[in-house]
Amino acid sequence: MLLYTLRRILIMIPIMVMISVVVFALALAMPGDALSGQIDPANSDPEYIEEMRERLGLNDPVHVQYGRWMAGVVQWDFGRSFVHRMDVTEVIGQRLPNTILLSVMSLIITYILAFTMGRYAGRHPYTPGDYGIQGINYLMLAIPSFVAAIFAIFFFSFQLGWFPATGSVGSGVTPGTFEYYLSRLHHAALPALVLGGLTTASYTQFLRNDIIESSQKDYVRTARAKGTSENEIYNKHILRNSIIPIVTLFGFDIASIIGGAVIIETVFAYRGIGELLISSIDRRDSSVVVAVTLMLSVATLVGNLIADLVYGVVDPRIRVE
Amino acid sequence: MSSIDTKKAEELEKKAKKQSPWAIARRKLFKNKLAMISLAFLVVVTILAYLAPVIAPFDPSRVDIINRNSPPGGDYLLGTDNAGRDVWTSLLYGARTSLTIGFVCMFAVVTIATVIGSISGFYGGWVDAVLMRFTDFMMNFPFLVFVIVLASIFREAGIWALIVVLSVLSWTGAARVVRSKTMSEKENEYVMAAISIGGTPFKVIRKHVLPNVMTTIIVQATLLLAVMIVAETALSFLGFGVPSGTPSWGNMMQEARQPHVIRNAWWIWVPPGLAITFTILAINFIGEGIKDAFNPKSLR
Repeated sequence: MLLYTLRRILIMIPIMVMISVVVFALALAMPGDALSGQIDPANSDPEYIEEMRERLGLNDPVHVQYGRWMAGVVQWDFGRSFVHRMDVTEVIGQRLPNTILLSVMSLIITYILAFTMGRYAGRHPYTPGDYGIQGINYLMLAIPSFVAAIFAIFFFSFQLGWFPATGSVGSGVTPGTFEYYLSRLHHAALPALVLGGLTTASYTQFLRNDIIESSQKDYVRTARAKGTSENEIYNKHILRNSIIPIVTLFGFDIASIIGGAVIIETVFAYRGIGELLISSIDRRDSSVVVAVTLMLSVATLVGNLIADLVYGVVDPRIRVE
Repeated sequence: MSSIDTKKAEELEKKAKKQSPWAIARRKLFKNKLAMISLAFLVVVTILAYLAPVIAPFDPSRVDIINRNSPPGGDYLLGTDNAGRDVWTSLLYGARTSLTIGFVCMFAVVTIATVIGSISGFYGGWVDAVLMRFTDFMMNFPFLVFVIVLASIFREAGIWALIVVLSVLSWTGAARVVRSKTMSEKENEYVMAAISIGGTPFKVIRKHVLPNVMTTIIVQATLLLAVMIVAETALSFLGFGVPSGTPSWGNMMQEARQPHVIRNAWWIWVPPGLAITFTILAINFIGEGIKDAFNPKSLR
């Protein structure tokens, strides 16, 4: 397992380098100065731009620029944000806790919903309850996240008034107090519900099919023959086996949450990384865009790595070769 | 004696001819009510979309300054939006934009995936290794983030740039599926026979391997159509897709980025929202139906 882990991490290094090259190429194509973020995008005086480009080294050969940029990146220096007037790492640092809160909450919601629905549908297959859950699944798979988010805001925020429609924290609460944290949870609840709710479909389906398949197996018949109660068979014998494949989906979830968060955060005006990406593109704050893109790519890569490693733990055959 | 045998053989042959895999699949698909209703729905939406210039009551860019944000009823079947445009007209023209982009992207992606997947699976060896490492590499990008960043860079280039960006970033999964199916198909004797009588690799792939991989490609294509329509509408919703002057379902939803529109003017965002959802739902049901129809193990 250790050898497998090390090999898997070593493979990641060249991929990371190639991804950094692609992001760098995108940075060169972006408007303004994406690598250091020090040229005023509003100032269109050609003399000013030329002088700044010369001073910042933007007229150097491409490989020199790439080397300088990478040297900064590995030292956690992504330049400055022109809009926010501070270091890019600081801007991202302010937003990151919000996105992490949203992701963790949505993951918890996904697991609770999928677990409840999948277990019920698997234990009572081909009943009205099962068909109902299947119907919900199809709808969840079909409805795009931004459409679901707008419907959710309409019903839960405006009609019922249960959740705030936008923002990540209420106004007038002092940071550090109990109300402050409660307000943040309250603001994250609805986006997390939409984000988590939409990803339950595949989990539910997976769990349901696995439970139905397992319930035909020999060990279940043995358990029944011994006189084990149905509850115990389903909750102890079958469920423990069916949960294993679910665990492996976790790594892939990181990738899907990253994509989903960009849209959901924008709809809810929730101040996280995804909303930062969109608003930075709109305001031509290229240095932030480059940093966020690189960060999300690395996060996706790490998600795939976790998926592979967990898979290796669960299924030893993967580790061979 | 011999005549009975030939008769029987003829009968069997006739039966076998009747029961070609495609015929079985077609029969199964026609029996699948949900898939048929979905197909009918999709056909109706497509026809309405392409007849938009004929049936739409107004010009899509016509602005009625007096009747802005007016609720459904009267002259305007589904009301008007923030700029005073007729929602029903926008919905029809938007369907045309969104469906066209979806279909064009689907064909582009399926073509790329089929070429890369079948070459990689058929040749194997270093060709396969190079192409698959490239595919793995492309898979590591967070799809939506890169689509947004690329679309923002090429924002001025219009709809075609959007189609290229979407297609270039989404062929990886389908290419892998085509590759694995080609690899298992290649092991069959008929492929070996085709090669042994001197068929060139291109001819063997086109005439012998591809027809047998076709079912897999069709299923992938339906899934991709849904994914591409969602991607286009989501991008347009965020403001990185179709230019704002052109009506599309995503552009119509864009107005709902302001909370007061969500609260007070439901007729602006409910029609495109439902249109997108039901279209995707219909495509998914058709895809499931096709998958089921080609699956010899399924009981239906």
